[in-house]
Amino acid sequence: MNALDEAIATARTPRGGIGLVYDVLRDSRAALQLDPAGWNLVLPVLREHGLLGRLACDLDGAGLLERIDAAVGRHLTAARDAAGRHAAAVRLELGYVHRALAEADIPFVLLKGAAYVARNVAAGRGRFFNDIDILVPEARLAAAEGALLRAKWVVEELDDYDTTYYRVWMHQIPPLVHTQRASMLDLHHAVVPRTSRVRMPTAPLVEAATPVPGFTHASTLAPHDMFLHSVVHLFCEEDLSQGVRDVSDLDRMIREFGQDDAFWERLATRVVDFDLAGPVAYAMHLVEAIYGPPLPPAAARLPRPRSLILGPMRRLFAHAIEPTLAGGHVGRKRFARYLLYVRGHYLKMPLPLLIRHLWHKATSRRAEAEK
Amino acid sequence: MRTISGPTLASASRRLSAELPSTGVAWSLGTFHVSLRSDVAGLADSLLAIYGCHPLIDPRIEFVDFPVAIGRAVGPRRFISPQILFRADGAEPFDPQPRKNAPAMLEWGLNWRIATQGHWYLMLHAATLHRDGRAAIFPGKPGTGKSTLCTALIEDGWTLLSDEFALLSLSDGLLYPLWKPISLKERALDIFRERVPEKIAPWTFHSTKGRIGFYVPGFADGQFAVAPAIPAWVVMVSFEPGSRLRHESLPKSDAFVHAANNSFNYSLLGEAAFVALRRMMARSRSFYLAYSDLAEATAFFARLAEDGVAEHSAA
Repeated sequence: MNALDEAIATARTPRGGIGLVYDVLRDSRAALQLDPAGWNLVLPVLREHGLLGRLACDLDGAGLLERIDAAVGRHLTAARDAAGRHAAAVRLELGYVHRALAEADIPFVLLKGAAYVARNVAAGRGRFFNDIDILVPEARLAAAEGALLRAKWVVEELDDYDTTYYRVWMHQIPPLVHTQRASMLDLHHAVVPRTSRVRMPTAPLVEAATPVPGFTHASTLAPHDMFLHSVVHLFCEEDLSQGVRDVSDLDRMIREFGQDDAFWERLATRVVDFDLAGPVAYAMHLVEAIYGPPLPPAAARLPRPRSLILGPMRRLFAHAIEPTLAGGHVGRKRFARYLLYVRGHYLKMPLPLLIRHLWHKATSRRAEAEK
Repeated sequence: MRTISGPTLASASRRLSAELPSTGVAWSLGTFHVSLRSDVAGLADSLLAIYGCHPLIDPRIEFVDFPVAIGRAVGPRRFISPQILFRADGAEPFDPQPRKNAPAMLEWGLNWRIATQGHWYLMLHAATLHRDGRAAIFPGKPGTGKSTLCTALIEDGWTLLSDEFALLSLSDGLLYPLWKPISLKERALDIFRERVPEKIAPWTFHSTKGRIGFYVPGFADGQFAVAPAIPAWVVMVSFEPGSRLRHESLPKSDAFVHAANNSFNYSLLGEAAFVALRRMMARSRSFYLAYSDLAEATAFFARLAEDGVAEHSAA
């Protein structure tokens, strides 16, 4: 019995389903070995985590999509086509955003999903997202907002509290919606909230940003900052619902950028400057445990955190992102998510502000329910 | 015609209530296989009433397109009036419902999953039937009388392809079967409960649209069809109380727009949808039909199937 048969055999017991999902995401060739029972485990999990398009694009890229059994293949082909349409729509929208900001001569940095599409990196392939995120230095924030409003974006109407929440405490203005295309745009002046305990200043990120070919005013974060931003997003925020996809993103970035020693050197410098040894260590641990991407010796130079809670934290994150559909433990996952939700909020805001914020959320939800 | 034979859900009825909450039960709807897991008491009986004659699917050896679950909602409310939740692929798209709506929730849930995932078809909000492999398509919003007409046509010898969905393949341009019960409202429900009581599911529920029940077409042993049909007639139907049967030919451009407006995924599929719909229109005759009397309407369709030229006769 080879390793794959063994994986499929264990997949029939509940715990093993997760392993099978990670196997096909690590190397799409593993999908050729799946029997109908294997697909019955894998496909719902991929769908739950928005990763069906990713596997479909992997298989398509490797020329293997045609070799998947037709009953399953039609789901994958539809997901590949949807991913293609999504990327095309994002590129079109990027053109509009760029035109609006270039007219006002405001350079901007694309973040997350839109950046992956613009750079055509592996982490963006088959990935779905609802809004485009862009970053400008705070000094240009008002000018950027003005330029976008002139190009027919509008700021979502909010009550006084939510306006204060965004304008005073957060790292972005309230979400923008285009009046004709209904596309969503998040305009950031930083990658972490103003109130956050995590330090990740905008200036050095913008300074190191890489221009996007074909655009005069658009750039993306440099590879090491792209990776770091994804890590901070996953390990310092309160919402872990996209955890499976985010860890896969990190794996793809390591495979794509990690062969260049400069990536690891620059990442190590940032880790020290921004004091992010903990989150990067959790990320590296999870990616290695789940996907095991090849790591060059330079990767070993990342600073190691000296912390007693490193072990428990790793386990907490591992439980929190467990895909329950594949047999993960529901109660354990909920508890881990809850602890990390509390931690995320603690990192996001100082305690008095947090109490005020949670109090407002609880009471306003009640008021809404009574309406 | 290709059919699926073998054990049906009804033949496994004794295992059903044990398997439903544990491993789940899978069955075929024609072009899709679905499975349900549920710990809601009594759902096994409802399942048998609607899908009893459908082929049983073994998920250990066959791929299931859409696995869904209906479970009891947690929270303090369960002690007063138990509520249920629909889940599919980790998503819970609907608000909790009272337990008695479980069978209806299964129907909505399957429709929702198909409409959001089956994008290798152009999906029209339409009822589709066929006779000898040639299909009639009735696109239109609920309340136009298409489900009532289709039920009458099935009783007159037509074969159901699908009620809520027309599944038009993007690759071969054929219409694929999706065997689900037909939902009938108020008066239509009463009509068919009187005519064919054995084909009406033994419960109704109240929605914003009024009282709704299910007509279960059923089929003889070995007649469960999975073969597609060729689009032949596109009918824009309208129920007009008291009126005589009227029909007139509809310009293909009008029928095209009407079908596109009643599609779940036309704009999502873009050019592929345009190509598929144009091909469907090129193959079919399109006309407008107003009716009030079901016997008159079924006779019209019988003539249509026979010579295919009835739409040219005087209105």
